[in-house]
Amino acid sequence: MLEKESFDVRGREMNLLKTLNYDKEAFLHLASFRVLIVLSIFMSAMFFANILFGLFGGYIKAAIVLAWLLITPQLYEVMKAFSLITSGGFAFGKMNKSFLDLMREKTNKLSYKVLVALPAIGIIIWIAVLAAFIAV
Amino acid sequence: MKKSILPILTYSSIIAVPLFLFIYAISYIFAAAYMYVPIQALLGISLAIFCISNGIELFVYKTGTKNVLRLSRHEVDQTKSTISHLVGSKSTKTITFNVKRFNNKEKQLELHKYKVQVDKFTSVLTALLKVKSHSDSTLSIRCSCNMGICGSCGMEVNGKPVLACETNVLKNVKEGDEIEISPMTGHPMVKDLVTDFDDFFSKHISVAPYLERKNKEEQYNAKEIYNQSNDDISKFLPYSYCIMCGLCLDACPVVNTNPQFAGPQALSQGYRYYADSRDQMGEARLELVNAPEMVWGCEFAGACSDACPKGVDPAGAIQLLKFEVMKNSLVGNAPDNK
Ligand code: SF4
Ligand code: FES
Repeated sequence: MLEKESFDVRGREMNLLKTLNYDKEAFLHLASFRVLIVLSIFMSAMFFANILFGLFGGYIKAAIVLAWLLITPQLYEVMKAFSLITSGGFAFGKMNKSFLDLMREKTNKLSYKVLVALPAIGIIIWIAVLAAFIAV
Repeated sequence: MKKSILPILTYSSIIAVPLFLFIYAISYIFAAAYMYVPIQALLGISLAIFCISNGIELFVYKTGTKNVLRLSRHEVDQTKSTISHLVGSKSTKTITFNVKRFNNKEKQLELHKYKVQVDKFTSVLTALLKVKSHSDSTLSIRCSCNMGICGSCGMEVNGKPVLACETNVLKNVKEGDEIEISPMTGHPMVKDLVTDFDDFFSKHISVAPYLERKNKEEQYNAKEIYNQSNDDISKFLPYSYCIMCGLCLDACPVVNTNPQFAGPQALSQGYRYYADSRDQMGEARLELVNAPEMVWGCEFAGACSDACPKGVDPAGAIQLLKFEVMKNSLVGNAPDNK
């Protein structure tokens, strides 16, 4: 009997690029997160070098802006996850349409609407503070 | 360390980094210079924890395969294959199907081109079956029901994971009347468009996808009646619609970069049984999924829920499951004795 043979191409970070074909938000979120993981150790060292030896003072603001931008998609997803959990899976959930029709009374509540708006409000405040930080 | 501290470090750093960035910016805007040093120190610590804990979770706890697929593009042009007998010749159109077939000898994808006449109702599966019957019988496809029920015809159309039987050709053609078909590379490939689901099913089994009672006698020879209210049912109903098509795993960027991750299908089923009031495995279920390659592997990209043809919303289910794991670790309230 022939043995089944399979070939696996999973396991490469480059596979993230595949996500661009169907979910750009997911790509942005995961790619920026990975870049931040690598950069954050250098940024951390930079902050301590600044505190202890007064080095890199001129670059601190730029580092803050970079970390700020890179963590923005992650922060947005965390707020979405918060809304999703608080609403029991309804806010930002992508559940079956006929099931959601049956559950209409849950998705019509004011608290549900607030939870749906929360991440957008959070991100507007987040970006506004960044703009003010850059401007000062 | 592996089970409890790492997720806590990872999640606290994800909250701490933006929090300290925010406080630093506010103190900078209001020129509160005395805040700079302590906040810089906290930011430095939280960035270091962010890097180390996330780095361990993402890059150390994965044992990706070393196989590398080279997408050679030497085109095996089989354009002679034109299908003639089709319904309603006036409303038909000839579409070029660029099918990337997995060659299991060369271990690479090879591009084959087929011209197929389609009408506005033709699905990708119907078109591929026409190719198989009329022009190239060597083309391997897996399918059964042709109506979005069995979950066996998953493939990528223009790079997007879909059920071929539910995907209309004309709605998906690109410029030049072409459409691109390839196997789901988020699963190991066997031949042409056929992928291997052994790994998928072993992950499914790993979450104990069945109802469990403490009283085994009662479980296998039930005497009681287990009434469930509408509320009880709505807690797990959408998650029980899964047809095990594997599209969510193919879409998931974490599965694609780390094959060890259990993936959206298995974890959503873990939640489906956890949320069912008839199940009594509560805490043990949470223990089962409290690991870096289980719920903590999920980065909430959400691509799985977009790809799911049945509205199972695996991404949502995993976040609810994570919350239950956290809640249970902190206050231990798993509903074991329902
Ligand atoms: S969760 Fe959805 S996409 Fe994933 S296997 Fe089940 S039906 Fe398919
Ligand atoms: S053939 Fe059954 S789902 Fe497509």
